[in-house]
Formats: sequence, structure tokens, C-alpha cells
Amino acid sequence: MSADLSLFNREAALLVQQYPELEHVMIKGKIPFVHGQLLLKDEAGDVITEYSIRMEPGPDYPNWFPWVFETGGRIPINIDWHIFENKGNCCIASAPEEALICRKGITLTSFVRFQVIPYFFNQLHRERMGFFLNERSHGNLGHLEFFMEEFETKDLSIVIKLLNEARSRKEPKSNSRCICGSKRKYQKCHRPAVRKIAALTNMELDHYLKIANDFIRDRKVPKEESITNF
Amino acid sequence: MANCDHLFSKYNDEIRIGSKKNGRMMDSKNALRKRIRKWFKDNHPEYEPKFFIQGSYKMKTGIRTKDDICDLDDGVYFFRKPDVTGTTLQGWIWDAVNGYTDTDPEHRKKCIRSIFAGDYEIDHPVYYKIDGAPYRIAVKDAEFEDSDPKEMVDWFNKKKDKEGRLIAQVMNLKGWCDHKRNKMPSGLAMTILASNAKSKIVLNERADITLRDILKEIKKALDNKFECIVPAVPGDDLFASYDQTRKNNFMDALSDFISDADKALQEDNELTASKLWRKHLGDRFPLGEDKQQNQSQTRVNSAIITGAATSNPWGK
Ligand SMILES: [Zn+2]
Ligand SMILES: [Zn+2]
Repeated sequence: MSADLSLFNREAALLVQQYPELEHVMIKGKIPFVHGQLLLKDEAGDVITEYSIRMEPGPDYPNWFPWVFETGGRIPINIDWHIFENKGNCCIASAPEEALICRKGITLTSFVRFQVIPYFFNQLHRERMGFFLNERSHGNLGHLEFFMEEFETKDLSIVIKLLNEARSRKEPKSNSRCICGSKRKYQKCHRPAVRKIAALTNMELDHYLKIANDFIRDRKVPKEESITNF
Repeated sequence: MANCDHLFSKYNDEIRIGSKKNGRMMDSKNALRKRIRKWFKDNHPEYEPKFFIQGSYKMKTGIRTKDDICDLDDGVYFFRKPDVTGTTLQGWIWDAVNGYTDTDPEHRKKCIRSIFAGDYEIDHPVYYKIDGAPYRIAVKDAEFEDSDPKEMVDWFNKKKDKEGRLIAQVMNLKGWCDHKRNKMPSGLAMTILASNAKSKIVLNERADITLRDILKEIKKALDNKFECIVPAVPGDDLFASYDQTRKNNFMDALSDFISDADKALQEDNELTASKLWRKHLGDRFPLGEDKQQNQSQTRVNSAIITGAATSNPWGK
């Protein structure tokens, strides 16, 4: 797989119209990129701060996020700051989240607005206050936290039931009881979340099911205090 | 989300070597240098001592301990090959400084220590150097060892930032070890660990955030490999002699400090946050005011919180 560079270029041209502090660079024979200043503004539109960034198509845009780099030396290349140490790119979301967002369809403009800007606001939060407002645990636990948040449960066995439900590719009748055990009707309970998660492939769902089952088998059921975002 | 940066500034002022004490210590250093020069002139004129201040004083990371003691390393250098053992050469320094302080000087492994009771200590490590060979330090009951104290100072000077944040953090860490005592690592070890940690992070403007970040990087490095290599000839591992108990003692203290530092950063009340820092730095760390903080920044902070609300970064 490789990134769709002509799509990247078309979208980059639109992006820089909305974000004039960013510049779209195309050099013949080289991978195109966008770089410049990312302004973080308050509700009144006043600039709070700006980050120097560079955005590249990455290995598989638009199936995966483009790569974003902070180029001003303001954030260390350190996984605890959510920068991947091998490439130096920002780790913006857990893998299942990223997959689902991309499958729903992204453009560079929506990516910057809904992913990159919030990510840098979170970096600013860490810089000013010493901690990220929200963040996922590293590794597989971070994936499970995402599913627990989506399914609004801290119970991994319910996560597994609902992942299996998505994996079955057939829906229960809308007015039957939800499989989570809540006694509510499926359509009023977990149907929207399961439909959303069902956009993952069988391979992906099997992968996350295995992670969840491994956690339960190894009794590594995440402790409540280690789970963020609730 | 109490910002305790101003409390750290006060704490640094509190543990820094004050100007009066510093003045007394400089006078003593000069008097001892004079005695040593005279002693060699009278007894061994073929040995001409030269002096070089080194160690924490040179790096400006010296602190006053909670018993109000500080120290100064004044290296004695001979630019010739000695025809006596290291122990004998140290003994000559002992003879030279003996009688200046009320208590006898201590003949330690790598220095002669003059104790100015209740005030400070002046250490005289002894070196010789000949052209084309490394500096060699005299070691008690052994021969000379390769050792270049300037190398460590140069290394630290390259690591440090011009705002003095690394120096302040080394002082904080030394203050922590002094407060805990109980065989915590030496000031030199904390200087090395902090400097190594510094190159993995970006120093924050806020001292409280930077301290927590440095503690975490130190823990990461030591979890990976429990060692503390002196970045100068002969590259000693300062932790090589640590047994399991001493190692666990330090690692546990480190984990406790990190956990309270995290809590302090998330705490809104300045007094409550300051008490968390005090648990580890002792009561020379000032108490904060009993008030909720960050009111003045509410507008910007709330914009940041709104802006960050949908971000959930992750990591492998
Ligand atoms: Zn991350
Ligand atoms: Zn349900």
C-alpha cells in the first residue's frame, strides 16, 4: 500500500486556503508536504500559541492518518509526550480510532481541524499544566480503553460480547434486549456503538478480541484508576 | 492545577549556599592553600602544588544540607611524577592542613577532608599529571588511578541550559536525597542522572513540571539498566557497589516521589500541592497559600481545555 499523493496534493491546496499560515510544498520527484505554523485560537479567535509543524502523506493516506511532526523543538521526541521515538511523528489516536475515522472518510482539512488542532491543544495543556487532559495508556491497553469508552463500560467481558456482536455481521432485532445485559432495547442501547465499530474489518476485530481475551486470561483486567477518559 | 514554580524558586534560595557562608568558606580555602604551599616549600620544595576548584562548587550545584553543611572540593595538583605512593602524598597534605581546624582532618579514600564543624567541609583530592598522560588521583592504600575532574565539569557545562534550569533541578534532587538520607545516591550521581534525563525531554518553564519530568526519565533509564556511569575517565559506575536493599530503597523513593509529583501537578489547592512536595523535599520547601489557583488564567485555560477535549493521544 502507498499513499495517494495526488489526493494529498488536491486536499493540501484546499487546506492552505483555510489555514494560510501553512504552506503546501511540491518538489518534482519528492514526496509533497505541508508545513508552517499551526495557530491555536480561543473562542474569540485570539491566538493563544502556535506550533511549527510539518505534515507528510505517510505510508497510506487516506487509509491511515498523514504523518505530523512538530518541528519547533518544543516537544521532545519521547513516547511519554506522544511522539513516536522511531520516526518522530505525533501519535494522535489509538489504532482502532484512527482506522474508524479514516474509514468514515477524512480530508486534510477535517484531519487538521478535528485531530491535529485538538492534539496540539492537548500538548499545550501538558506544557502549561504538566499533564495531558486525556490520553490513552500505551500499548494494547490503550486500544481497550477506546472500546470501553465507545461501549460506555469498564467491563471487558461486555466489550468482548459487543465486539463479537460486531464481528457476527448480523444485527439482532431492534426491539430485542441488548446483549450487554442492561435490559434496555438493543436499538436504544448499544446498537449505534456496535454499528460504528462494525466498520472495522474481521481481521481487525479478531485482533482486538484476542487482545481483550488475553487481558482477561492473564487477569490483567485494567484497574479503574489506570483507565482515563471517564 | 497549582503552579508551584514560585515555591521552587524560594526553595532553591533556601538551600543555596548563602553569601556569608560562601565568604567564610572562600577565606578558609585560601588559608588552607597558603598552608599547603608553605608546607611543601619547607618540607618538599621539589613538589609545587597548584590548585583547581572542582566538583559541585565549580558546577554551581552546591547546596546547604539540612544540618547547614556544605562542601568545597579544592583539587591539589602536582605537575611531576611523584616518587612516593599516593597514600604518602595524601599524608603530606594531611600534615599541611593539620592544626587549622579544631578537629583532625580525615584521611579519606580519595581526599583529605578538613571539617569546619557545623559550617562546611573542604576536601583536598590530590592529583599528579605528566605530559602526554591522563590526570591521576592519589588513592589511600592503593596506587594512583586515572581521573580527570575537569572532564566531568566540562561535560556538565555542555549539558546545562543558559536559563539555569538544569542546575536548579540538580539542586532539587540533591535536596531530596539530603532530606531522605538513608543511603540515597550522592550529589555526583544525581547530577549525572539529571543531566542524562535532561537530554530526553524539553525543560519546562515551570520547575515543578520539569522536576516531575526528570524524575520520570531517571526512573525509565534505571528501570532499563541500573547504573550511573561517570562521564569522565575512568568511567566508574557509581551504582556498581549498590546491593539489592540500597537499590530498592532508591527506586522506591523515586516511585513515591513521582506519584506525589503527579498528584501535586493535578492538585488545585496550592497549600495541598506544597505539602506533597514537602513530603520529599522536607520542610525547607515553603508552604503554599491555602487557595485555589489559576483563577486569573481561567479564560485561556478554559480555551485550552475546550480545545483539547476530543484529543486522546496514545502510544505503543
Ligand atoms: Zn502517544
Ligand atoms: Zn447495551
